[in-house]
Amino acid sequence: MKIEYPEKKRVTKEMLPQIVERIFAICKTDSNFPLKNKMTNVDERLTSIQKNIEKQDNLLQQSKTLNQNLVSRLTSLKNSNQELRDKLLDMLGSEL
Amino acid sequence: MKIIQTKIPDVSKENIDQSKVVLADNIIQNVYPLFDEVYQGKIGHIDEIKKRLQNKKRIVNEKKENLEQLMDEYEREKKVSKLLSRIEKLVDSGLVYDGSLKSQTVILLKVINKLSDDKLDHHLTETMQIIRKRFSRT
Repeated sequence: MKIEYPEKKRVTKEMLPQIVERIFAICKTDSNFPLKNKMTNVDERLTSIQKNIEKQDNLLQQSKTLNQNLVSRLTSLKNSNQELRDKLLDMLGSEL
Repeated sequence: MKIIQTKIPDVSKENIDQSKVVLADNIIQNVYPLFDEVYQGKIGHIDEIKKRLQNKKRIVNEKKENLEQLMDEYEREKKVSKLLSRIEKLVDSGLVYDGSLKSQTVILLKVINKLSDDKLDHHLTETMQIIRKRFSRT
């Protein structure tokens, strides 16, 4: 026999993942829970890949700063070289 | 309240342990497929973020190659700068005002940006030798 309470708030389908997550959180504390190791391994893999993605993002950020710095230095050096070259050609009496 | 007939045994003082087992089995039976869904969902998520990681690694490699090219260009420009400074020293010390050396220097200045690395190194050594000769006499 089952007693149903019609006025009880029904669980919507959108809440299902949270409910399953909650049940899983309780179940995984049990050493006999068979999915525990599989889930732990998957979570570890996820964390490891996410860390790697963060590392790549940091590298991209660093490369952006380095690129800006290098382009600025290169432009400045090219300009000063051009000025000196023009000055020397002028001193040697050559048309540019 | 609505009372309906099910296969779940009613709980009484006598069958309480058995009821717990039945109830637990029922829960497990219903919840396990959901865990499998969660597990499969996580596996799918791993595949998705693996692709993202590969993509990021490809971009990082492209940026690295780009930086290496820029570094090469920068090193080359530094060599040009060094050579120009040496030529300036030669000009300032009056060493390149005779006919042949003057025209060679003018040609060198005109093509300096098109010279290969080897040629730049060659001219750097040559100008250094001239400067050393000039200043060792004084």
